[in-house]
Amino acid sequence: MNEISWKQLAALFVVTRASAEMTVIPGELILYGPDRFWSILAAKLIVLILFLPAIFMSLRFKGEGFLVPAIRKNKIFGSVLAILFMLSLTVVILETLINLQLYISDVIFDNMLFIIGVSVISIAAYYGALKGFSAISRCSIFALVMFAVLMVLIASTASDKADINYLYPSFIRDGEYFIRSMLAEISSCSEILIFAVFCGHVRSKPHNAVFLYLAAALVLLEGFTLLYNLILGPYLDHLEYPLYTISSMSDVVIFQRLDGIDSVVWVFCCIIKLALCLCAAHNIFTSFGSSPDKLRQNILLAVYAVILIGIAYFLGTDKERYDTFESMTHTSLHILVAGTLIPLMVLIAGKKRTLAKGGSKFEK
Amino acid sequence: MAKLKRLIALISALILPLCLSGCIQYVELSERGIVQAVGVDYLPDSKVYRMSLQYFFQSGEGGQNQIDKTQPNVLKSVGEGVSVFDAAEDASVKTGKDLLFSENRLIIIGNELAKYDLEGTLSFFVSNYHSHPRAYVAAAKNTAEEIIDIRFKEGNVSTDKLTNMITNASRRGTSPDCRIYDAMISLSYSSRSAYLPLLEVKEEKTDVTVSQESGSSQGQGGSGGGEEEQKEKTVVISGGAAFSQGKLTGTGTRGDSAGIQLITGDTPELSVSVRTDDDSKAATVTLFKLDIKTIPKISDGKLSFKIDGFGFGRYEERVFLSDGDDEAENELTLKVEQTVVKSMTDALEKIKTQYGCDAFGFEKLLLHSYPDFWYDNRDNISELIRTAPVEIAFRCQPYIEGIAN
Repeated sequence: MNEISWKQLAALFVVTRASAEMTVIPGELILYGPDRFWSILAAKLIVLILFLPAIFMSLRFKGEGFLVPAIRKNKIFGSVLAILFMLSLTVVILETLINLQLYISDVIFDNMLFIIGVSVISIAAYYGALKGFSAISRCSIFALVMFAVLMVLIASTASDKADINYLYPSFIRDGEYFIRSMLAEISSCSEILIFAVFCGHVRSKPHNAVFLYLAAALVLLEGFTLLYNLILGPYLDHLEYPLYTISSMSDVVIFQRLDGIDSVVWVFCCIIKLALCLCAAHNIFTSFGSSPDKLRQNILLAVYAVILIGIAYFLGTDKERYDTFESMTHTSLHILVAGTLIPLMVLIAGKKRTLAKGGSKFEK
Repeated sequence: MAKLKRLIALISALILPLCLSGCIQYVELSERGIVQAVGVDYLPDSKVYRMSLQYFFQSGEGGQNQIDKTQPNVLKSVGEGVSVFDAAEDASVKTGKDLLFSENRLIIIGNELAKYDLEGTLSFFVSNYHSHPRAYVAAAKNTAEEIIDIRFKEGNVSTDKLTNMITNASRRGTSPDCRIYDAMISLSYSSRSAYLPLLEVKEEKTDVTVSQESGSSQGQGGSGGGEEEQKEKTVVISGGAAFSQGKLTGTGTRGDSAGIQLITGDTPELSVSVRTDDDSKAATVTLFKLDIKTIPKISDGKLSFKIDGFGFGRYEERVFLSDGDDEAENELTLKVEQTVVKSMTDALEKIKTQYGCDAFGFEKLLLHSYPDFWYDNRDNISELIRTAPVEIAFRCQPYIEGIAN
């Protein structure tokens, strides 16, 4: 089961976080001024604390995610945790699907039907989930390279548009924005859920992936915020997708605008994130499966994906419903439950593997 | 078998995305009106917006060359409506084409419309993510439509001439250019100011325009007859339009535009012609490597600004300086410095104090340096900036070079 290295896991997390930055965080929370720099820093520190139970769990139950030790303790206990986790994971997938579709209809194809956009993306993500965690990790390296190339292109053209005088060093907004921005930042940190499931798939030191990812995400998000402030100044307050706007202003040799490349990279990153979430769901289904019937598990995952598309359609096509759902997700409750509470419970109540009779290795 | 599977997967991955075009309602290129320039006017009597468009005329392309210059390569269309969007829709209906704004190079705001909300007008072009974000924005001295009506021979399309004029004027330091996002950023500050190049139709003896009637290369004024007949309508940048609180408050001359560009530090180089006495021939000095900084100051709760500048001066014509004539050289340098300071002072007096337009980026600098002061006075910041005294100092250092020496 030890499929990838901790560096690959960190790269995978950076890609999923990158997609969230563009398509999940609502533009209204990316405001002009220094407050967001501090809200990102505070959010990352809190996320590090939230990660601790999962990290300790990965150290105690080496080579396993949260579910196996829980089931080993008690099947009912494991089932309850699995249900709670699936609910949280469902919220993350729905949020990603809806926001991705909004992004597509806002900036790419304004006349694309909601259901078509969501379905095409979900099919690609479903295929990725079937290929497995290791395949998605390898794919994320390609996405990371594409993402890095895009960033280099944007940065290379930013010098003539950036103005250091747009920055100002003082907190002059009220504290409410700081809190809202920080909570939104925490709520989009779905990587903690993925870690709780897949920490056992990392060859060694999975916690290193968390530290590297958090450091990289901090630099990445602070870098984005700096770029937004330097180029867009106070107009940042009026924009929904600031990075898309900046890339559309970028002019590199024959490419008069980079927004097309930008959307391809972000959609690609988002498909990886969705595939990873579906793969996590698949992992939970297989943990409960009594027989290794792959086809049945694949069909179950497909049914789950179709249900999600239906719910995403229901929530995403009505503004009132969408706003309610969005305000619910911004409480970060699902992250707290699935990313921290469940690993903490497993850490406290989970059962370690026992030594096989006369053997030196552990067995289930 | 595994190889075959991979091959099928690869072919599917390449071919299946082609089918995705069926998921959206797409428009063939020939059915698109590729907009090159937009003029927006407001008709106060009928209370409607009037949008004039220059769009690419595709019949001119094909064969060996992409563009056939013997044909007029842009066509004009107009639309009217109660909003800018409505006017664009009307223009689209009249042309029978789906309008594509992603290649639009220039947005011209008519004089009457400029008296209303500039931000609201421009929001049409930025809220649609497919509009070109690097399009220039300019104001028309009269109507935007009369600028759109004029077709130029130069450039792949007629609009190239206008955008090249704006780019070149900015490069020469005589008029700041303004892209659509520059305008939106400037309008986001509390003074909601913007300064746009002012385009004016003039009759001049040139042959740069194309007659609309014939589509030939004859100028609009025709080719025969005397001197009067040889004049044709062309477009010039006559200065700038100053906006405050999103509305046109006045227009500046080319000198004012040069002063603004100097203060904002966007001037790559600027030629200054001066006379040391009334009878002498003017000497031209080109200022380059300009370094102009504006520093806001708060003293006893009072806001003021200090502009401190330096530039090297290159004599373009050595008309009266002889080697070792330090006195004449100093006198010339002093005159250049005084001219530059006067240019900035005049621009400040007219654009900032009279029109209340913060084209100089003072609010940006104030927020950058004194955010708490800005926050405490945020409701009154425009007035504070308008009345704030500005101290200007400029130093020029002659830089002798070239074979003339």
